[in-house]
Amino acid sequence: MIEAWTSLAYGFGVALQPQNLLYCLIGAIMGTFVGVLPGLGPTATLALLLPVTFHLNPVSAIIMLAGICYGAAYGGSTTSILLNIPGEASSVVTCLDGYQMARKGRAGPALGISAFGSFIAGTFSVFGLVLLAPTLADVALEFGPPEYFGLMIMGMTVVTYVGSGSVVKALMMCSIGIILGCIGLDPITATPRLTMGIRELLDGLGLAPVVMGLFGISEVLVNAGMVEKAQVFEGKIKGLLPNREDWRKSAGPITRGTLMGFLLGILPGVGTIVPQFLCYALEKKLSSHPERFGKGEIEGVASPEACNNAAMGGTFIPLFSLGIPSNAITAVLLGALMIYGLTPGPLLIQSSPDFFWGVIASMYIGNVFLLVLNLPLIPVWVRILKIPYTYLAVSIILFCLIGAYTLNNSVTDVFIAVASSLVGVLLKRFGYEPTPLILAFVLGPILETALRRSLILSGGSFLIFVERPISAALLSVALIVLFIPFLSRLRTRTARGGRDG
Amino acid sequence: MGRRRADLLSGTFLLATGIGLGYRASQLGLGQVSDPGPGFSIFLAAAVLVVLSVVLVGSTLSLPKNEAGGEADRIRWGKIGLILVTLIVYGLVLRKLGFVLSTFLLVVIFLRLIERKNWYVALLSGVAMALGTYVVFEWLLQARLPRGVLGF
Repeated sequence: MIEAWTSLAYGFGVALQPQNLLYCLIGAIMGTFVGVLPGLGPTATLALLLPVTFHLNPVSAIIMLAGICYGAAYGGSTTSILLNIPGEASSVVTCLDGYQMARKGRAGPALGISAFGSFIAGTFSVFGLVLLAPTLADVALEFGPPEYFGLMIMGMTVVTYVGSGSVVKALMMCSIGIILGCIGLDPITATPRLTMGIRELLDGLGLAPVVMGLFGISEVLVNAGMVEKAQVFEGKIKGLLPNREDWRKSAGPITRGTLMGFLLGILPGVGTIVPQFLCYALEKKLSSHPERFGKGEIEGVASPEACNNAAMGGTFIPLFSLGIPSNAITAVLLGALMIYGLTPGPLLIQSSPDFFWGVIASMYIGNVFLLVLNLPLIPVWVRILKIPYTYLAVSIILFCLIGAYTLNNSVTDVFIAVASSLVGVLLKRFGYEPTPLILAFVLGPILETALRRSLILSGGSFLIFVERPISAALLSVALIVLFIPFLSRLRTRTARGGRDG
Repeated sequence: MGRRRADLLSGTFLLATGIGLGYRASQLGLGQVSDPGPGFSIFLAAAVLVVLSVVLVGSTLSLPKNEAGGEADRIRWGKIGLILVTLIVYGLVLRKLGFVLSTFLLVVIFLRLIERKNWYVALLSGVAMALGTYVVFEWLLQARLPRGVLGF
């Protein structure tokens, strides 16, 4: 335990170096900016800034990228509250009560409590990270190919279960994601697969162009194609700070949101969106006046916002100690780590302590930066939101395309991004979600290698997955998660049958 | 197009795609279970896709016509198509015309043709964005942007 704190102190030494402080700050600002802008999510920004970070050393790069993640979590709440548009996907829940508070002229306290709640949650999750990541790393050493297979499957099923669309559609997206991940050279036999004769595809589609197209450009396209335009809230923001009554009401929700968010975020595959819905539901259940939720209750803002930041910190645990991404954002981070030559996993902490502890320390610093930044900058953010969306739109498209090009100086990547954007629009139109797809796209190759290695290990027997306890447990969880919706539907049907009969 | 029809369309399309991919995977070689070939995983994923598509189509068909959810979001496909074409053209000319010129044209076309701003605004923004992004990417971020036949 003492070892963890000395390492953390060492990490602060790394994080407080001027250049790392600078990158942390830049990342935090960019992340907030991106989180505030509707239509450009942190995933696309991460992918966009990836090429920039190639010139930096891995520690500084990840510090900046992690800053973006946190910044986006802070910034996303701004548009949710002011415009009723989630600035980033995981700020959806904040819209429910946050926007209503703004309409009542209480945008200030809403923004304020979300900033403070986020800070408290973020700080807590950093310490959680310090305490738990090394422990999980030891457990992870027990993992062989079959365990990884079970883990990947579990991660994918949990994500698909808790998405807002239908499970079937989410799993379909997973399958497509896996197939897209197979494009390129087969990792074991080096045969070209699905490359359609295009030479540049031998390395695979590339995470960044796909993400930029699927999330960045497609969001712009969808907004451009909408018949109704977003409405800016015209009103004065009175008093940024929540009053005593607000604090009293929010104390419980922030605490519960932080704990729940962090614990749920740790589970691979859960991400940051699901915990927020659960936290909101919990607060509503616990409240003495649940009917007021959805009409501007500050608890409905405090809890999801704290939950969001805590869950984000939580998702870094499986990312760093096991190499499992829980959502599109951590999937991109995983890709980034691999590009830098750092393999996340139990060995990461030992082999690159300056990386691991430096990043954790900088997350704490990032939280401080973000709190200091967000409060006075709120009027500025609001003014940016008043830029006509047209100019924002063309800038976003431009950045995504240029970003795609500069990855490999290849126009093919630009076309991949454009094609992905079309896919993104189609998915939205037909009611599918891109998150399971991107998750499977990143996890797919790992899953495939795990599967094939396991089968080679076992000589072709699928029993290996059940014989080894950890993988059996993981697969059981996956199965249970998959079948819960069916079970509950069965129960309602029998109940209804009983009543009618 | 209602949700029901949308689901039937996408379900059938993905069903066909899954079958096609499964076939392609088998061509790549499935290998043995003890020594999986390159097509193994693709085939499995495609099989899952096929099964799920059947489930989707089946469950959509089994629902009575007016119960399958509301109208899907209305989307202006013409505008989206126009933007996509512009982006593809951008990709095609990027190397030939060079970054600055291609970007300028992209912004102008976008603002003038697609968003119907006046020429003054479009041209001014075009210059500003082309030069601005050039500065940011080439100088600040040290990227190597393409120079066209005109040398810049």
